[in-house]
Order: sequence, then structure tokens, then C-alpha cells
Amino acid sequence: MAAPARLNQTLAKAQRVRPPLSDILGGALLVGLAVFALFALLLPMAVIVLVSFDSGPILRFPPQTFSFERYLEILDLVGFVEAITLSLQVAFLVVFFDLLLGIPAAISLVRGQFPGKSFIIGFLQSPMMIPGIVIGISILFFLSYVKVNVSIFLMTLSHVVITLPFMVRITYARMVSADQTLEEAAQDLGANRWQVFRHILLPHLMPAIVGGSAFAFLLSFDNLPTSIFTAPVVDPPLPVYLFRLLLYNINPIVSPIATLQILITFVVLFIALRTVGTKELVGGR
Amino acid sequence: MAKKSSLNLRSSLGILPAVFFLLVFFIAPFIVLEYYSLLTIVEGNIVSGPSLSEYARLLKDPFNYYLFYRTISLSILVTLLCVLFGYPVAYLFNKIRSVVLRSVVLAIVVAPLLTSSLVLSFGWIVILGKQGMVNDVLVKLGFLQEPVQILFTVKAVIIGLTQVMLPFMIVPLISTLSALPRDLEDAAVDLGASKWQSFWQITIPQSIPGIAAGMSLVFVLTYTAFTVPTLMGGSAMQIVSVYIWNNVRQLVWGTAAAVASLLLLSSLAIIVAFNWIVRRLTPWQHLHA
Repeated sequence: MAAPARLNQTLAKAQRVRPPLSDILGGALLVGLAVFALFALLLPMAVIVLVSFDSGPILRFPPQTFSFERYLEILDLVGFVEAITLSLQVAFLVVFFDLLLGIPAAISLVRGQFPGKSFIIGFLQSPMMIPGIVIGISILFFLSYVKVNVSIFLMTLSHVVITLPFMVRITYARMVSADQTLEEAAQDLGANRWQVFRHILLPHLMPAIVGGSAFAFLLSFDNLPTSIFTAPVVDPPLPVYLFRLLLYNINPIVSPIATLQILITFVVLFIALRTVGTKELVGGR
Repeated sequence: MAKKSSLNLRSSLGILPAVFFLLVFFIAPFIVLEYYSLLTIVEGNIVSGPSLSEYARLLKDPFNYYLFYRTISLSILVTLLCVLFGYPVAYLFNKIRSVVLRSVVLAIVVAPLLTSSLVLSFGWIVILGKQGMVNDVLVKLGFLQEPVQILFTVKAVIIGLTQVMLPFMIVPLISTLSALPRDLEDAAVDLGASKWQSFWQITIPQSIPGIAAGMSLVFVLTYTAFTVPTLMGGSAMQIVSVYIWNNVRQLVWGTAAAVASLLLLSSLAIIVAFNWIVRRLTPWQHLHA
């Protein structure tokens, strides 16, 4: 065993003396592309944060002053408080409905036995495959067809459709690793179903519940492609409000608001990465 | 035994609320969308239908072919750019030994994924605008005489979409590449291949399934993207999603529904075709299964 290892080392050393030009150029190309990509990934967020501390009516980069002027201007913005209040209300409602529908579904998918289980799993994930704008207009058309006017519930419903697959996916992945013998032992000792859920399953599912809720909250809070069709036209939620501000002129007031949104994102990112894996979040197929 | 099966029935009931919810608020709306696509609706009033006249009209109009052609070629370009920039990041990520550096890179990759594309578009608006960084640097370096218009052109949309979609390419690639056996690459080098050869002939072919997964995800998301094209290309941007939005705004719902159905159908068709081609190109993948 020792001899081939030494041989390998010698060979490797011999190659290290004179690496072919293609290795040097190829390595430089890979590193160059990767560094450029990482730089470009970070750039927009860094620029927004820096620009938010500039002042004056023009957006420019690099910024030339340092002030909190733009942050103070948010307070005078007409409709901003209504926008952020609506977005928060809807996001909390969405998380509430996601938990109410998603947790029982995830538990049943693991513990239950019924025909067509893999079909149901696919069905519960299917909204992920449908573009947000298509979900938005179909719910808009549906509620106009059945002639129900439910104001903010229209938007809430459309967000639950979008986020529920993620909640089910994240809690399901956690539920798979739950130890069934613990639940059986608790039942043998006289616990009812609610007690088993409350004292055995809920503590086990907690990381997925926290991570899934944080993620669903963010998806709802940031959503534009669906909300643009389902949100109230008067006093819209934050993304639609910002969209309208930006559509017709480039407004510097957006920079402090965007900075606050980036801050929220990093808090949620921290919670989500601590509690669930990146793979559940991306939804890679 | 009897007790156990009744218990299983009861533990299966939890699935019902979620299934019921999606049937009412996902499947039923979808049926209504398809129904509307068969109607002619002007200013919110049903004029005629149901018939296939809306589709016939769409298929007759050369503008629609141009619209879909433009959207598809834009999506292909963005997908290829994501492979070009995403693959090196994922490849080198698995070579990094330092835990700190790994988490920094992972944070840079995942942060844009969770940031709204509205916020990211705004960042690019600042960077690419006439007073922005790119024009500033190019003028100072003497490449340009005066600032040029990048924003509100298709160039800006390509840059913005590539950045927003890049994480969707990198994350699946990282997991594919980390699952590849390292020995093959080492063996190739031991047998006299240069590192570049072993990268090009061993690592890349083995990671085709990961590249394909990332590509289909990025393609679908780009093809149906709304926020970045509208904000960075302007509301007159000729992209399918923006066209649908403009039709809904003008209350031409029948056309909007028909175009949305075509968008959905064509994206599914492209993905099925793409996966079929990939499966033909990587016959060795079936040996494992």
C-alpha cells in the first residue's frame, strides 16, 4: 500500500514541476469566471445599501455624501405605511394557512397509508411548476367568474397556493426522520392523538416549521408576479407599490426601502439556513 | 390488526384539507383560465365564445411568433450565460477547504435567491443607469466618449436575468458535483492526463445531469419571468409575460388567458424535449438505474 502512494506522490511532484500551459490558462479562466460571477451576484445589493446613504434627487454611483436623508423621506411617502401594513398582514395570514394545511398533510404523507400516495405528493408540489403570473391571472379570473369579491383574501389565497408546496416539502423532509416507536410508546402509555402531536411530533418538526414559516413569509412578502394581478388596486402591498414607483421614473426613495428589505432577507436567510437545507429552498428537480 | 388499519385511515385524513384547498384554488382557477381562453372578451365583457377563435387569431398574427421567438431566444441566452458563470463557481466551491470561505461563498450564492427580484432589479437600475457605475467606469477608462443607454434595452434585461437566475444554476450543480467520486479525476491525472483534460473529459461529462437540471430550472424561470424584464426593459418590453400583463391591464382577458395557456404549454413542451435530448446524450446514466 505504501509503495503506490509514494509513486503517486512522485508522479504528482513530477507534474507539479512543469504544469502544461493548458492547466494554467484553464485554471485562470475558471477562477476568473467564478470571481466575476460572485462579484456580480453581490454587486446589486452592495450598491443599494451604499446608495441609500447618499442624498439629493439623483441616483448616482459612487455616492457622494453620507446622510440618513433618504431614510427620513420614507416617513413622508404617501401610502407607504398602508403598503407595508398590508404586506405584513397578508404574509402572516399566509404562514398561518400554510401551517394549518401543510403540517397535517406532511404527517399524513409519512404516517398514513392510502392509494395514490406518490400521485398526491406530486399534486401537492405541482403549483411550483406553474409560473407565478399564470397562478395570479387564473385566480383573478376564477374569482371574477364565481363573482366573489373578497379584497385581501384574493391575494392571500394566491400566496397560499404558491407557498404551500414549499411548506409541505420542508415539513415532509423533516417528518420522514421522525421515530415512529416514540409515538407508539406514548400511545401505549395512554397519550391521546393530540398529546402525541403536541409532545412528540411538534418538537421534532419545530426546525422545519420555523424554517418553512420564515421562507413562506419571505415568498409572500416579496411576491410581485402574482400580486400584480391579485392585489387590491387601491392601497397595494409593498412590492406592487414599489413596482409602480419604479415603473415610470427611477425614484431614489426606493433605495432605503430596498436596504431594509435586504436586511429582512439576511435575517430570514440566517434562520432558514440554520433550520433547513438549501436544497428544500431552491426546489431543484 | 383492525385497530391498526383504522388508525392508518385516521392518520391519512390530514391530507384532505391541503388537497381540497388546491383543488378549489389551484385546479378550478386553472379550468376557468382555459375556459376564458376560449372566449373573446373586450373591456371585461364577454363578446363571443366559447370557441377556438382566440387561438386561431393568435396563430395567424406574425407578431405572436416574433414575441415567443424573442422570449425563447432570450431565455436560451440567459441559460447559457448561467452555465458559463455558474459552473466555475460550483466546481471551485467543492475544491475550497476553508470552512469560513465556503460559508462566505454559499451566503453570496444564496442571498440573491431569497432577495426579491424587484430589489435586485433596482440595484441594476442604479448600476446601469446613465449616472451609474458601468457608464462611469467606461467613460473614465476612455472606452466611451459619453454615457450610453444600457437601461431599458434588452442588454439590461439579459444582465439582470442572468444575475437573478445564477443561484438556481449554482445550487443544483454544487450538490451534483459534490456527489461525484473524486478518484476518477485523480486516476485520469495519474494516467498522464493534464488537469485541464481531466476537467474537460472526466468532470464535465459526469456532471451533465446536474447541468441539465440547472438549465431546465433556469430556462423555465427566465421564460416566465416578469419583474426583471418589466423594470429593466420598460413596460413596452416585448416579452410574453409583459404582453400578458398589458392585456390584463387593458381588460382583454380572452387574449391574456390564451397567451398564458400557450406560455405554460410551450414551457412544458420545451422542458420535455430538452430532457429527452439530455437522456439521449448521456446513455450511461441509465446503467445506474
